[in-house]
Amino acid sequence: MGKSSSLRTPARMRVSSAALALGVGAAVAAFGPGAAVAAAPQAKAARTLTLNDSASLHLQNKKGLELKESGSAKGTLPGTLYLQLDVTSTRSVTAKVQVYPKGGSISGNAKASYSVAGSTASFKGTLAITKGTGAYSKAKASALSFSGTIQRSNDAVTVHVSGKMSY
Amino acid sequence: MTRARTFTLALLAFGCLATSAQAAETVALHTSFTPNRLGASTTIGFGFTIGSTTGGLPSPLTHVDLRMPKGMNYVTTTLGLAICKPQSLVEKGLSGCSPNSRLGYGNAFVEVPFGQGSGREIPEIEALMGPPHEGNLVVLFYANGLAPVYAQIVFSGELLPGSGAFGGDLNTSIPQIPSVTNGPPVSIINVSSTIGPSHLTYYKRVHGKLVGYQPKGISLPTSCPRGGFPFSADFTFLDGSQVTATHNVPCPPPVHHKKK
Repeated sequence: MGKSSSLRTPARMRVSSAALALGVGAAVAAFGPGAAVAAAPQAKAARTLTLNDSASLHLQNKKGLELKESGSAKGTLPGTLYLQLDVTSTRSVTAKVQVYPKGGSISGNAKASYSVAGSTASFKGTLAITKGTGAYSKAKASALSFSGTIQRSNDAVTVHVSGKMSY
Repeated sequence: MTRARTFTLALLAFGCLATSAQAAETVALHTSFTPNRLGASTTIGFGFTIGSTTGGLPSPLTHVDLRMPKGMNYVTTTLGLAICKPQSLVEKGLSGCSPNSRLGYGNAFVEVPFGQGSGREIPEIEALMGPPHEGNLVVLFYANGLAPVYAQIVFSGELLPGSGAFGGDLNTSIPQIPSVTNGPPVSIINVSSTIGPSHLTYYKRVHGKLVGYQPKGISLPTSCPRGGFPFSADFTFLDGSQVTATHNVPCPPPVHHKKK
């Protein structure tokens, strides 16, 4: 009893040892015993992409002051594009944009001024990328140019996004 | 009584007399939605009646600033798909503009300053979509006057973004309508007008043929504020006075869905 008690390690030390063992184990598992120097963690340089994308969208759903549109984006990042336009006043809109290029997705929020001229309404403002997945999980941009038109007779929308994005 | 006190009392008395003798304009604002149904496309009706506290002719109106309720949907309306140029309207009247630029219609009642009871109706006021100004929507008003006020007048209102309880602000300058050549302007007594699809027909080409249809109006909000949908208007007169009038369109009765 007394022997066994003298061999017992204090609880805090046991946790620390376990953490250390886990850490070493993880490092070995990750880089292999001989690879520690060669595979030292390197920060990946962020890549930049100059976007110049356009899409012709058609109405999916219209509810209150909200238009939900979808279509195909063409340009730097081609893919399916979803746009939700909310008209916040007679002169301004906010928008949520989601685009699904090959290998991931990119989401963003936009704010734009809005005006009507006969059969066409137009909007112009900026888009900030808020989220990305897959190959674009680190996508970032704060002030992409965001503009477009709404055909008032059938709510068909064209949208154009341009500017530099890092990912 | 000191001399200063006497002078003050005299000034006050003069002030009271001056105030009671001065005419002031009164305005009653009327507004409506047809239909009055939450979320539905509607025709906005608005009108006002101007009077004077002395019973005489009110000063001619120079400016109306009509504030409309928040949450009105100006986006999904198909009103004003064409733009009417003011110059075409002046030169050719209504035939100078596409029927697809019409937004509404109304009438007015004016009185000429020589003799009371000489009021005349302006039976035709048309509201049309004008060229936008600095991105704001512009409503052109075309008034076609008959004897003795022969005048075809074009004036415009600009829809500005609203604030507070109001979502839009139709800011309209009213030109002075001469009673006779070089004569004093007429006084507007009553105006009623609509903005909406009621009694409007637009045209589109389907398989090469022109087909008439009714445009979609501005939609009502999906919820009604306590006390109804508020309208408020500032009226400015040629004598420099200003009157604010308000009117609420009552909330529509709740719709009860039948249980199956």
